[in-house]
Amino acid sequence: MNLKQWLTSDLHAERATGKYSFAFLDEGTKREIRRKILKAIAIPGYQVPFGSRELPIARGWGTGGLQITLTIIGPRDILKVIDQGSDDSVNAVNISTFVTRVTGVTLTTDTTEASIIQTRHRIPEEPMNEDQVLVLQVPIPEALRTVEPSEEETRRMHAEADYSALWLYLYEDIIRYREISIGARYPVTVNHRYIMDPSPIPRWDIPKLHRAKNLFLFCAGREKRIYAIPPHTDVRPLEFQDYPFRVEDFKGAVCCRCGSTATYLDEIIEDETGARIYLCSDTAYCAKTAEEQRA
Amino acid sequence: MKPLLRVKNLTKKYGEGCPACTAGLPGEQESNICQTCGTVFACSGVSFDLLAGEVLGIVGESGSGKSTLIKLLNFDLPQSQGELYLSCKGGPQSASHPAVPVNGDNLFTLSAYQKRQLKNFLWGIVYQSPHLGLKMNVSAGGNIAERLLMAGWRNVGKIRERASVLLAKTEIPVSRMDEPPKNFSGGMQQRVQIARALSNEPVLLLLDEVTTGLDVSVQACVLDLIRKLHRELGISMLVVSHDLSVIRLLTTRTLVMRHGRVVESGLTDQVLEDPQHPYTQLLVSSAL
Amino acid sequence: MAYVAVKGGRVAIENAAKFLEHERIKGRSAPLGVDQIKDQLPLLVDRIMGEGSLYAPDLAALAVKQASGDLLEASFILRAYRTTQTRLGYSVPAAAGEMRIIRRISAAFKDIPGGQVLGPTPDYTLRLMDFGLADDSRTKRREFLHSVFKDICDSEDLPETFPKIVEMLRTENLLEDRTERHVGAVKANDLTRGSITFPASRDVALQSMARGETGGLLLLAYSNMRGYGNVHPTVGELRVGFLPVKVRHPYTGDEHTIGEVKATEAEIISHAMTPEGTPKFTLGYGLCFGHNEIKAISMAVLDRAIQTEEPEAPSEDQEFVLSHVDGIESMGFCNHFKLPHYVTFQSSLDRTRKTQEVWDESEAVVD
Repeated sequence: MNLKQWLTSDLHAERATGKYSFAFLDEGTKREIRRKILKAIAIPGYQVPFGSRELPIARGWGTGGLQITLTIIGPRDILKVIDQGSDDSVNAVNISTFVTRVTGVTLTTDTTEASIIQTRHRIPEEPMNEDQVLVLQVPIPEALRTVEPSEEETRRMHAEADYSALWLYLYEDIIRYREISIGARYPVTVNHRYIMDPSPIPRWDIPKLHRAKNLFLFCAGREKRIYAIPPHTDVRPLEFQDYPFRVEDFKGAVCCRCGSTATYLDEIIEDETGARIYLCSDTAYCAKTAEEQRA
Repeated sequence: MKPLLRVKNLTKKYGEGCPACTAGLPGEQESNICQTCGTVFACSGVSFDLLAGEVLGIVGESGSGKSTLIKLLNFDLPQSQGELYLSCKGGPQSASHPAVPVNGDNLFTLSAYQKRQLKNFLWGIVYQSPHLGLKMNVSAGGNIAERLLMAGWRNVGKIRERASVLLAKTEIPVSRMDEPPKNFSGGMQQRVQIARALSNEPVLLLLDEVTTGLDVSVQACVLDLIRKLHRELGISMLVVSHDLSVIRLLTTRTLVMRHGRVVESGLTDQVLEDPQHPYTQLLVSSAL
Repeated sequence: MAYVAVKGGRVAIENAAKFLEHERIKGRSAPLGVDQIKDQLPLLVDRIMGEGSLYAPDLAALAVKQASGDLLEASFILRAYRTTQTRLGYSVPAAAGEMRIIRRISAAFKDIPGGQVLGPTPDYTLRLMDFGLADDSRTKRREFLHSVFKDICDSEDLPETFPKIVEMLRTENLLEDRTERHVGAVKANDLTRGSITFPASRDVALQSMARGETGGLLLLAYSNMRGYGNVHPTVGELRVGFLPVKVRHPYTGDEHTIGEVKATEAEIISHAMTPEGTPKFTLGYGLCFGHNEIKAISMAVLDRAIQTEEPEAPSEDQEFVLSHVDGIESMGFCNHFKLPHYVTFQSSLDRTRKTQEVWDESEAVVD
């Protein structure tokens, strides 16, 4: 049988109309991922290995976040997808198009309306509540990777709470630069036990992890790890008493659209004048605020 | 008085073992290899006590098992058999740390986490090669800080203060605190190791051939420093060396090892002046 | 305010896809048939099946067409399709001796039982550009085939099976004893149903490399052969042929052969010391879909290398090798750096500016 014959045969009939199970993933995969999510919630900050499946989107482009979303989503969920804080970013658009195609769920840009938010590199400015889940895309799940390339070794370090190598790295940073020079992917201690990589969110977003009302789910598709921060969990950035953790300093810059000074800002160099202007990274929140001001 | 450290029947073997050697190598032999199966007994049924404040020497030639012994005590190698007991309250650092168990447990049965905590608080090791004991690309202060960080110190200023005190105590210029040890001379690298070992006010120091390979005048400085620290801190020490003059200078009691066994033990003066075992006699008479 | 927020991402993506499609079809040549790719670029199709980890020549050919010839993309397309297929079960393991041979050579011995069967190989061809191919036609092909078969004399049939070279070494007791971990495993672990942990068992390591990207495996094996490692391989046996796919009947329990897959198998012979201290030979094993000798040999060399007692070179470090050979993972991660990273970059800008400030302040104080 050649390809043409196969395509028109009964064998292919099921696939002919592109019918997949609800949310693309088969039930066996969903079951495994759900169990692993539960395990992750039971051990806050601990990386649970799982059999990560390939998806039509490339590794490194959100297959982890996508597997979580596709596993937990139901037909009545309302989904928001952002990348760098923006719903319009090409990657976010690509992902939300795929999810809506295989589930038929409603999309929203309003953080307060969404039941599931999948995000890359940012936590939305508006605080979430106990009915919402934030799913974060993770490139490198291992907080200790900066000081140790071997996975076998980092797993042992976590098991034995042997974190002095990371603390030493921070100490050396301070004596070299008089500041901790880590920007995004700032390591945090979860529930007084595991050191966790919060994904490449800016330091600005770190405080939002501490004792939040919502559930945070993290997933690295390529590295095949799931981890979680359950609601009301203690999450503290690594810091020294005399060198406390600091968020980014925008030095009084203002969003030129909504006037905010209390959000994370994108720095943009204007086409014509070459001047520097600032815009809220959370574009939906910015639009909402600007709208409210006009009213 | 209970000894600070009690070692019982410590054995380390490399190989599958066989019925002939399961219970250990029979009697005293000319080698530490089982003739039947080729299993090597790096350490064979070593037992001894170390009293608080004592400096105990372990002397032997290469292959005697003395370095293996130190590595077993520092949990660098897993033991094949044996028990290890520590009796002390621990220094002020460890007083409030829940993970440090003493008085009663065989330390070899502890979990890896507990062993790490124990090592960090209760003793320090100085290796012959500074590359084993130090991170060469991390600053000298950082090498000391690592143990403090493991003990839970979270104030950079206080860490640096303590590091300065330790550097001063080991006669290293404090101005070099932020330099990596790879830039230091051999003698200074050993002193950084000593400073690091002392960081959490340990009750015991393990010194493995610490002056071997150094220039003679530098050796003398390091040995002087060790004696001074013993006087000032009253810290117990295990000194491993093949050099009888080091043993004579530092220790009050000595064990002589050969082929993984202790063949003689006693007061250092007696062992060196009036050796009983033929091997000890050979050692002493061969010394220049 | 002069700045207008960028919108229209959805439209931009759609247009990009159309542009890509346009690039593939804008030429004047006739549309490429999937059957043409399958028939006339078989080695390409074989490579895609191996890296896509799905034996389906038509689909692999289709993926090659869809990807405009990008091998990593094509393998990715096939893998993504594979993920949608229902798992029916596992085949009965085939013995390597069951292969229906089309090529079988050994570098270890000059002459071997069954003979050196060269089969279809470019190994001895002169790589002179054949301009005659520009003038290909059905007529020319017919003429060529006619000339080949016209003078073919009656030759002996190939034997049904060929003995394995390594068995000869084994009977002479020159081969390292097979330990329990190599023989009689009740059920092989399936890497795709979990995630790899280190140290990995040999079956998982081999599965990982069988799905690996040919160039990556070659790079690591080459580094070992050149001296960053100790394998010094001799090709004990290289086989290309067809392996039967056998399944067990769910009710009767009988084995049934339901088809065959083309595969390449390489066994390399290397030196090792036994625990007793006697030198023996040991094997490295490689197996992959389709006709892909570079991959099979590289895999065999690496199989040996990652079992080294005291690894020194990167190719001997099991975790290093197995973490980096998957083409779909590596290309995805490499490509992902093209995604916007401006939020993390902003954070980085803040840090660098801050440390510069602190530095300047302290310099000022010193002065």
